[in-house]
Amino acid sequence: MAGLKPAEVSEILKQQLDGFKTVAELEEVGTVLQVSDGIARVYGLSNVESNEMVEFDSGVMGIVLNLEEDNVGCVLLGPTEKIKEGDSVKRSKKIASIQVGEGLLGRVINTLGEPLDGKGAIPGTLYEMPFERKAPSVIFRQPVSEPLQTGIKAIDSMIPIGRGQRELIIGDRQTGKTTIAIDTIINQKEYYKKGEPVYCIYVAIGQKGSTVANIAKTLQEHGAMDYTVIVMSTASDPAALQFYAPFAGAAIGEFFRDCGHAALIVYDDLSKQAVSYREVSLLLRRPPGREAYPGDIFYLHSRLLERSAKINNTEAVARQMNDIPESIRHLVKGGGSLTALPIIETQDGDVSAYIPTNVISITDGQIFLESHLFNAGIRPAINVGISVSRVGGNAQIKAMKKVAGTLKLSQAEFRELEAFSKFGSDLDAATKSVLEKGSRNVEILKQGSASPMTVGEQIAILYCGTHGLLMDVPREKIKDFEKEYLLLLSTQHADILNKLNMGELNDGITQTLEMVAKKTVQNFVF
Amino acid sequence: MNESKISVRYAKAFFSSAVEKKLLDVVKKDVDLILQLLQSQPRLKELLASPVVKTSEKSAFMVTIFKDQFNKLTIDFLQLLLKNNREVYLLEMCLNFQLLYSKLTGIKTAHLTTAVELDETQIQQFNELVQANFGGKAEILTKVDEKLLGGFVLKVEDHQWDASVSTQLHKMRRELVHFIKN
Repeated sequence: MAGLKPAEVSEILKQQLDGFKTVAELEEVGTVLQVSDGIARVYGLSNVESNEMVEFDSGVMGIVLNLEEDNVGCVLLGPTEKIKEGDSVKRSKKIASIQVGEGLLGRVINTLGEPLDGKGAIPGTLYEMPFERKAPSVIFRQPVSEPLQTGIKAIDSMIPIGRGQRELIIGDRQTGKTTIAIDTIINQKEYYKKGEPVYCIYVAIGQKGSTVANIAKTLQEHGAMDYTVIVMSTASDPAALQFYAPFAGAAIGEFFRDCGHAALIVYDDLSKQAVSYREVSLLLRRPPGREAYPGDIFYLHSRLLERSAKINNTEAVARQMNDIPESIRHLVKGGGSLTALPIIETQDGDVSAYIPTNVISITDGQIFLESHLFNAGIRPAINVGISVSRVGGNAQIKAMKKVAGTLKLSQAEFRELEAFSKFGSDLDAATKSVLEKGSRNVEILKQGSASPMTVGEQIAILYCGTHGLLMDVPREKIKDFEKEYLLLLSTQHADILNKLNMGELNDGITQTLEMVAKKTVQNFVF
Repeated sequence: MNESKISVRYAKAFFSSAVEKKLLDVVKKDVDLILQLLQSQPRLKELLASPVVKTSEKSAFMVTIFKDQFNKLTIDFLQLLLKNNREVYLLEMCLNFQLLYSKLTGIKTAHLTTAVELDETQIQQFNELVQANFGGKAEILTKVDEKLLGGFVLKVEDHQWDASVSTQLHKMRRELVHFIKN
């Protein structure tokens, strides 16, 4: 208010009053029969549609979920205390939706699209996107073909993710799930600078406000907020806001996807969303099923994740896409993508619980994080053996495929032998060499948080690992070697790194890599 | 469970029984009274919903207070509800009864709230307004609420015509706040 001049206020007043409709409109209303935690049963509203927004006397909004014979069940998007029995409820004749635009970038918003970061209103043109929208059907899609670089060696080499893919990040609490997602967002800065941005959406569901504030700060520090939107509904928000948050995020992602951009969405995490959906469903008296989740919990997640897609490159085809909201019809372009990184938290490594199995079966692969690896200092704590990417291989760049093609298998072999060698009997030379090489690769694959690497750097260092160039370097010196080696490459052979970034790998390049590696190894041999 | 099924079925049975016995108008008055009581006396609703009070006690209570005012059919209906432990849904049943009544007779019940008392001619004008807009005859129930400041709120079934000064002011305030905030 401080910066507001009195004249401006009067001007606004006049403008508003001029545009104010004094004619009373005929509205459709109902009466609140019953209010309980986060839901209300309303008598009347006989013409209301499912998923329509309704407004209560106190200004609180609700979404209609249950249509019964003589009443409707709504979830409340605001405080329950403000609603009393007998209050009137108005139809809004609007399906639940969110206002989306490029102005959202760099902002922290809630499920309804209201800014929470105190930076004022969302600027620019905004388009209305519905929460619930059908996923693009087959003809408007195309197979995953472009890589989405996470900047994490272990993932980009062994579990590659393609644009338009859904890759699950699963693991116990405190295993670094969120870190992987945040690092991936930070790594997209490279593309933002290049002018081919991958817009990121981070959806925080049922988390602590302080955690989200920390994440926003991390992203800000690394200059990643310029292309990122944070959708947040904290643990204290009504359950309805929590379970709609991923849908709001998906609506924002679809806006970028349909406008021909690449987008990345992180749902952190879907287990909490399932819990809030269970709460609402039980309060609405829908019959409970396994673990008391409602019958449509699978559909809740499958329809959400199905909205991630790689859209057909041909613009004429993309324009025909099903269920495009009228507001963005004129903006639709082909070739966009929406990549999803849903996160699921398991309890004590139990992946066979209901929600984890559901989401594993929906997604195109999973990155499995384990606490014992994390505690052993292997970070990111990815269990390579059971982590997979079902479609990402097609999207991996050629050079990386050549260098890291066998890495996953050899690491799996190493893990097996490692467990075996713990019995301590004599080992033959072949086994020993597998163990030596494997343990060095483990060191190479370790990576700090918020320190993403370009593909070129990744290929360069992985080349040394997979070709056994580091056998003379002691294990604890591998990290130092990596630093020095990459420094040498970037200062003296920047062209090689550039070529590797483009996916080129020929004999000339490999010779240089080997030469530099041998030179660097000298500094570490005792 | 779909709770609305209960209230719809009971209301239908009660209604058709009233029609058969040609007691519709009498019963309608009873229903209106019950509804008015339930809405104005929250304690009555609490009593009906309370699982602590025995059914026999509830039944005796109902008979004592309503014996002289209500038709026998209405009393029987209340007894049936108590016997089946469905007394909690009484409010919804009454609402459904009214709906069935207005469907059969074509008489719409309109709730008119104004800031000041209206005279006969004004009410007649509203009557014509309802007939013109919704068809059928209209029965207007008036209520005075000074909080409206002026104008009126007319509610007919699911539709509402809010032309009160307080709502206009409220809307204006909201738009201004919204505008300034943004």
